[in-house]
Amino acid sequence: MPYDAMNERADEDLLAAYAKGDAAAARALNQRLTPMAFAHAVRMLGGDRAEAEDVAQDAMLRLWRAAPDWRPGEAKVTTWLYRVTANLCIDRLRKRRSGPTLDRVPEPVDETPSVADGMQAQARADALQAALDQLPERQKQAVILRHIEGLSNPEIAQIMDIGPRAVESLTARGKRALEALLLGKRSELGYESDG
Amino acid sequence: MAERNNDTGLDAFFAAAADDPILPPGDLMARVEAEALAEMPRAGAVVASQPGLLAQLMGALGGWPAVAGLAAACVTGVWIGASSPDSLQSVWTATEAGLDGIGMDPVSGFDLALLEG
Repeated sequence: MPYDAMNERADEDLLAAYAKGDAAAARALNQRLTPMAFAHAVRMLGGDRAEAEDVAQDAMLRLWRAAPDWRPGEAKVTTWLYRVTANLCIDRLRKRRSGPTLDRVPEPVDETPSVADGMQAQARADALQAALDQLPERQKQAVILRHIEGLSNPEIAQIMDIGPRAVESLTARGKRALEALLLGKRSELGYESDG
Repeated sequence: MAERNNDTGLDAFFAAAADDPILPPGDLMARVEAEALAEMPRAGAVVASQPGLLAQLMGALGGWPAVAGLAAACVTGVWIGASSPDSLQSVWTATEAGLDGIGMDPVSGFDLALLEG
């Protein structure tokens, strides 16, 4: 993301400026928020980048249209965008349920013991994605937001429109399921050697 | 504790996923920017799009034709009021109209009602 004067301004300020016809604010918001929406959509949709592009574009379009009526202080722009993106993804996941989800997830590229650390990290990320795709949607969403996006429980609670205790419950159950799913893959992915 | 062991075990996977950059393709960024600029409200457009008080009043009355009719009726009324009543008397005198024979007692109807009651 290029650093410029816009980076000093809060998302809400930029959105207000956009609503008044500030093209520079539009560009700054695009640079700041589209990568976030796209990455979240990719993770929610099991690595399907083409579909994630559609979701990110749709979510951003909704943001542009919501800008004139945006009420400052009511919700953070990022919280709103995470919620819209996740809801669009969940809609698509429900529509695609007819086929087995795991078929869409790419297998780790190389699982031989001689792979470099970078490749092991990529294989771990791919394995985690495959395991995440087997979780119920809400567990998956909570785990991604908490442990990959690094958001706080109160913020996740706002995004998912639930209480903080419900977030804790979802992430705990999600992690237990992930542990069970990933347990058999540790030796293949170099987990033991890394400690 | 089992929970702590689970956390430790998954941390490597979470770290690998968090470090795996998922960058948006350039054409997506271009499409979103184009849409942002297309959807962007123009400066002052909101004010300009609001109809003025006169336009709102005209709309409520039914547009230009209704306002033209109303204006014509208004001018006719002013003309009738301003023109001399002599001109009317020359056509139809007060005697012919029998105005002198009409009683103008405002309570006459009331008297009749009392008599009948």
